[in-house]
Amino acid sequence: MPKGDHLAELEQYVMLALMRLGDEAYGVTIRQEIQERSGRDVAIGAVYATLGRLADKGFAESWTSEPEPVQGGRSRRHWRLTVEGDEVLRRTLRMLGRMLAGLEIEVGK
Amino acid sequence: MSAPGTAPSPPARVPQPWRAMLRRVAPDDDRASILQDLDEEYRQICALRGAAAARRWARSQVLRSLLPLLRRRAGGRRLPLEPRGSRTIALLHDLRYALRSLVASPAYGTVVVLVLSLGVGANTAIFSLVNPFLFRALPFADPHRLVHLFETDPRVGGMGWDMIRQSWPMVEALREQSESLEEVAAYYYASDNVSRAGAEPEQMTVGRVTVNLFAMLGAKPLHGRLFTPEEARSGDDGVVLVHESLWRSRFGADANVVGSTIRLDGREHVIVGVMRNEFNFPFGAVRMWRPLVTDVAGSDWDDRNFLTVGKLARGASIDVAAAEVQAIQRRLQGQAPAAFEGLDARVVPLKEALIFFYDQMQALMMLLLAAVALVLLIVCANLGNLALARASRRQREIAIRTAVGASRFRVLRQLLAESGFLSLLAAIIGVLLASAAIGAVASMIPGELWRAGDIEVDGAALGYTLAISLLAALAFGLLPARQLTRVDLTPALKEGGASTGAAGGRRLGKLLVASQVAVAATLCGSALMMMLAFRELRNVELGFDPHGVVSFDLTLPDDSYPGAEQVRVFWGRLTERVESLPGVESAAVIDLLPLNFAAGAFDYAIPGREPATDDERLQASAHRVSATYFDAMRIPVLRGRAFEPGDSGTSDPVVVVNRLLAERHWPGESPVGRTMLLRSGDREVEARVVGVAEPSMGGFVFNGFEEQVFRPMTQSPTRGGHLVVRAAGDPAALVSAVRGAITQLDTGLPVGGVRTMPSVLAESTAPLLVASQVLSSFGAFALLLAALGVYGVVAYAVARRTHEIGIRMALGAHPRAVLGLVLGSGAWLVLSGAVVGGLLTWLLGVALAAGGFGTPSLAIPLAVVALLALVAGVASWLPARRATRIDPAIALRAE
Repeated sequence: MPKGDHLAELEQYVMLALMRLGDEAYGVTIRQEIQERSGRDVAIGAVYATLGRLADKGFAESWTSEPEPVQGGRSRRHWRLTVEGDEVLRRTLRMLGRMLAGLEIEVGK
Repeated sequence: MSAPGTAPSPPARVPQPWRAMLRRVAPDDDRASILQDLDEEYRQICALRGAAAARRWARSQVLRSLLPLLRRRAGGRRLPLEPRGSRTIALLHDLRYALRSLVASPAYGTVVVLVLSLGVGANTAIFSLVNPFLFRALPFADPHRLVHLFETDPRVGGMGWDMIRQSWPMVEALREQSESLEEVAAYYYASDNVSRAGAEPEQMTVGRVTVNLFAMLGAKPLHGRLFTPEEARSGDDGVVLVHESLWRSRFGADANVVGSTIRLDGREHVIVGVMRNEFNFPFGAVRMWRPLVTDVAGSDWDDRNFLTVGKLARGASIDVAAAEVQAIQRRLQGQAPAAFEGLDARVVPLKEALIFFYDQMQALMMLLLAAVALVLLIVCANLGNLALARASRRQREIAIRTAVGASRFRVLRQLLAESGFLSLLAAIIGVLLASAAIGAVASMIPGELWRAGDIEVDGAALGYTLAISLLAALAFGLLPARQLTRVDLTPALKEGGASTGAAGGRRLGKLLVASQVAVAATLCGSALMMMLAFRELRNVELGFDPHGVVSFDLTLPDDSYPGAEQVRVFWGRLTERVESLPGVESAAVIDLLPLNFAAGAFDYAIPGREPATDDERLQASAHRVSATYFDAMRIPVLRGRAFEPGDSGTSDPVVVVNRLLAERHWPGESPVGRTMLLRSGDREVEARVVGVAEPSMGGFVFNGFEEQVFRPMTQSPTRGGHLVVRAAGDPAALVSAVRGAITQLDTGLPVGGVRTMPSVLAESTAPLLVASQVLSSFGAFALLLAALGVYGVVAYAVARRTHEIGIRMALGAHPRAVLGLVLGSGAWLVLSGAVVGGLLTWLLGVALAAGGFGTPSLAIPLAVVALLALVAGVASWLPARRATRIDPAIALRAE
């Protein structure tokens, strides 16, 4: 895998969140997903910075949703993985899997 | 939550100041989303945990978001012109961008590299040339503590050599009594006949040194060992040290050389060691050393043979040592008053003493260094102008980049990356050029000159090169930068392209060119002066005719010629034999060859005429010559006669004086028949003047004519001498015949230094020749650069005003008027530059004349001004002419 494609830890978390959340993925949901699942209380700014980097690398892209069907509702900026991003994420996880294979680590809950 | 029927309350939002902070820090395209998301979560938490908790949460979120967002902002935009990621990547990106833009305009890059490499290369070369003389420390231990001692005679005026050697008792006294000198060593050098098995005998300069010298200098042998104290005793001193270069060239780097023997002056000597290449004492030609035998060194206070060096004790300064030596001298006057009468002592740093004509050398070297630095200045000015011109063409591009967010700093970095890259390339090429040039120049410098190590491009020179090329990069890289990054963007972005902000650049450009012209003029002027001085020196009236004369160096060894009679007989037989050879017009012998960097002196007195003042010491340069000398060298004898066979060792002592001496003491009358007292040490000889000769040049061409006293070789024979042979035809054809004649008389006698007199003359003026050649090439280079500069400025002016010119011509303006318009004020600036340069040249001439170098004249400065005006005129006429050829139709359409 080319050097630039190695993912930092937060990038992995954000991409995993994108994968999980699908169409629901936007700033708030991504942040909350990470907080709830990993316990890591990430600042919204950090999430956005990460999303920006991922976008630069071509691993994620944003799309705008239809305005909310309420008075004064706004359209929101959503995020999703690109095809490459998906690829890269899977590759990363495979690598991690290979590292873990056979290791008997009691990781607990 | 609101009660039904009422207007809904506005949704809660993240309170100030947090909101404002986030606004400020968030990237533009994310700003709205981030605030929206933050507000949404804020509302959720408000509902779940209350407003206070929500506020706390919001504060924490904003504060922790600041850093990531700021980093995101700084680290990269998503614009293609800006790189992403870390700082190193940004630098590489700058470099790549620089390369791309240079490749896009290869002409600019090539010109810059070419011109700069010449400028940098010249500086590197001169630095490497000057380094061993001026800057590099002596290759000895504690070099700043090493000194040379002299006794001096303050009464010898002018350029006379006032440093006197010392007698052995003085050396011993210094050793015993001096406290400021922790070590004292002595040496002298002489020509010895060296022969070894299976090789031709040759003459070599061999140093005789006290056995403590090497230890004092901290020199260690490459092989073998140094001398031991026992070897300073006569009889035990049959040992010799050889220099590594000799070991390699003559002994084939044979590891077994230590322990082998060679014959020096008829005696067997054992080689005990090989000295390293770096070791050099007292000068390059001395490549063998023998111990100085101290037990028979003599107790004669007047037998001044020795040169003394010392090492200052820790904490002692040169002045302290000098004072002490003087005090010791005064104390010793009690023992030997005549020996030290009126003498002074001097202590100089060793380096100054070893380098011949140190003061003049230093001045010359400084001059060269300054000249070449000036050349670099011109180069930078030229390049700066080019950069300015290029920059004004790129204003649009840079304006755009600035508009989309490139900071001024980024733009500067970009420009510096360009100029830095070009400078580095130029530095590499410059170093290569310098190495080549150094090889050529170094061979022209006589090996007799002492220097600290080789003339080469070493670490120091490379460091110097790097420093100056970086400075150059800064200079011509930043020159346009100031102007570019200040530019008001709007006009540059408009379709009309860039012409605003260029006004300041134009003025700067013109100023640069004017200063180039001034500097070029000064360089040309000094080059001209040096060339004229050199020519003067080469054509100087020598007082003898060197053409057709060839000289041979001979030294008669002690063992085969133990007494004066044998020496006398040899010289007599030799001249007879050689004169009888076919093709030989005349032959003679002289102890010290003219122009050979060696001279001797007699004190003299005229009986009955005491010197006018006590300070005045009568001294004349002394020569011992065979009877045919004046004939062979074609020196006119004005009154009386030259020497004759009748002037033998047993008859009355006679001398021939030169016209200067005769006119001084016997103005208007003939000195023939008068007597003179010649003093050498405490010996005094009364001699009769038998003839007056025309003055002839002595050992140093720079000294001019001095008073001379000639003694016949038969009455005062010397073992070391030069055979001068005048050929009827080509002197080179005689060489083997003369060698044959010498070998017939003495088979083992080596013949050294076979040279024609014209080449002796050439060697004596070598440093000046080198300097004038170097300065001339600088001058030519500077002239070329100035011409290019002027051409560039005028061509640029024409290009810029094409539109305007087109209009004028369409309206009927005469081509000559257009010409005048283009040349305009620029011409005045160039002319004033030339005048300034001429003025500087004139001042330089006056300064040199004050130092005794040539006469100040107006001719050279005027010539220089004319030359520069001519060159600048041609350089501006060419592009201006093109202006008149412009087709108005095309010009009007052009932009």
